[in-house]
Amino acid sequence: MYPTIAHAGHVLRTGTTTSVELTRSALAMADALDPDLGVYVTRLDDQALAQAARADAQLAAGDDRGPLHGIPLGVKDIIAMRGADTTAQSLVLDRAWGRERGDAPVVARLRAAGAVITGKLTTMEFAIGVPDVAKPFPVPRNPWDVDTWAGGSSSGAASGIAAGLVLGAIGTDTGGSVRIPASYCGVSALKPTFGRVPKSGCVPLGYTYDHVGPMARSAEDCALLLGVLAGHDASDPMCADRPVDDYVSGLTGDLTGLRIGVDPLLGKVSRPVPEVDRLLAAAVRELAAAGAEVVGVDLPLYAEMSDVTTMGFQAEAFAYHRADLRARWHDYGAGTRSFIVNGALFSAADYVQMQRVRRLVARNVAALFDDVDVIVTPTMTGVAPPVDGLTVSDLGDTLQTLYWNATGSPALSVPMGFSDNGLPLGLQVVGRHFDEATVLAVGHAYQQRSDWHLRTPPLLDRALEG
Amino acid sequence: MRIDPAQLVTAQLAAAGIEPDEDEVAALVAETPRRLFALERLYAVEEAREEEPFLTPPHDPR
Repeated sequence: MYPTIAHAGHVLRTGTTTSVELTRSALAMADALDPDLGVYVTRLDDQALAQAARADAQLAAGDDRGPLHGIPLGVKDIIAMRGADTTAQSLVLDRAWGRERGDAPVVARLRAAGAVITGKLTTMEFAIGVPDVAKPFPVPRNPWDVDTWAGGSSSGAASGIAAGLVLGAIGTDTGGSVRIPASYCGVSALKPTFGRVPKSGCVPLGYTYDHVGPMARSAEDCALLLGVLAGHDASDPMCADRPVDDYVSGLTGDLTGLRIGVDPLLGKVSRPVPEVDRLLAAAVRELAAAGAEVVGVDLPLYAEMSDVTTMGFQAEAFAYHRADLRARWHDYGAGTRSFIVNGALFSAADYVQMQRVRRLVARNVAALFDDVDVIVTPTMTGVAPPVDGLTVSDLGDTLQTLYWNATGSPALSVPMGFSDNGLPLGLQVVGRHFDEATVLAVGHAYQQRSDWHLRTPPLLDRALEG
Repeated sequence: MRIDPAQLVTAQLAAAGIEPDEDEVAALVAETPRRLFALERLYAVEEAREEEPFLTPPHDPR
């Protein structure tokens, strides 16, 4: 299995491999590892192989649809697809919902780009909560230690990429759900600017906090995916109607002229994994070595803005789920329903106040970007927790992703090393609105000077040897 | 004014028509001080007093 989309695309075009071979390899890896990892809700082997054969024929005929042509990818199972169930990993959602809707715009764009969709990937129920063994869905596990959680809610995407079951995936992120599993599983993931990628056709969690984003091994691969996913679609009233940038030509590895603001979040959040600080400092040194000027920044009202995300999307999610929670409380998983029900405990004025603080802080952060081009923090200040008996409260204040869902800023997580007990940790790179190009360029430059993103978990190595 | 978390949560859930299990209600009650603290902290942000919320209606609702 080739490590990256970029590399796989290259060998496809040199004739060293075919899309069918890439797809068969991915499916074989799923045969070997998915029973232990819980990556897939639904595999689409026959459809995928047919798409791969079509891609090979198209490429041979000179019909080259770009960097995703013939590449095996997965889709998080809250995103509608024709020809497949969409479960949201819940007993509550009608599985036919996605078939009836047809492809979400992001899925249609993948198909138009010639991608091979291998299946629907595991999530948390309705993209929130924790794994629920009482429900008839796979429990997503971390390929670096299968007794730990893959993270969520784009769980199967991160785990599948890390373990070689797919080369990339589409996830969604409302409070960190592409970046958290990316940090836990040692892969790369981008939450784009709010509205950069259409979110219609995705089961909503927080209407003003939801983002659809690419996940892959590298920042470069995320750039290739974003180039296909981004752009206006009239079906999403919150989608931005502005041109899609070139996310790839700026991936030079040279950060000369860039100013990077660092907030290590000392004193703002707990440090269950103290090696976060050492790894962050080492990553920042690499960015400086790539030519960037590094300065310190202080993110304002950090705890307050993180609460604005959590409480804000609880209120929005409760509005969506109220009728089903009333009628089918016990069909929801315990972790999911106990999280969403908090939305019933806020007043209308509370929600307005959240949005007032939100605008204030977003404006103050925009002012920070007058002085720096990107801001870096740890993605998480903890590593993947044990999956057995996991509760939401076990995560404590280790999620350093929430802040950026409230601001709507583009935020990338890339691997920055391992904890002392061998679990991955992520570096978060955040930029100005609609400046994904700079964010991805910084992530790429870091990955030109490090190889964390190319490391593979031992169980993948054993499967390849076997 | 003293707030009784149990009365507050029970009333809010009843108003929403939601009937969690007893232990779930107890957990929500236990979380009430933290939740109220977080809300009060937002109301205490002085600079937000004159701030407009992110609730702008669309110019074209189609």
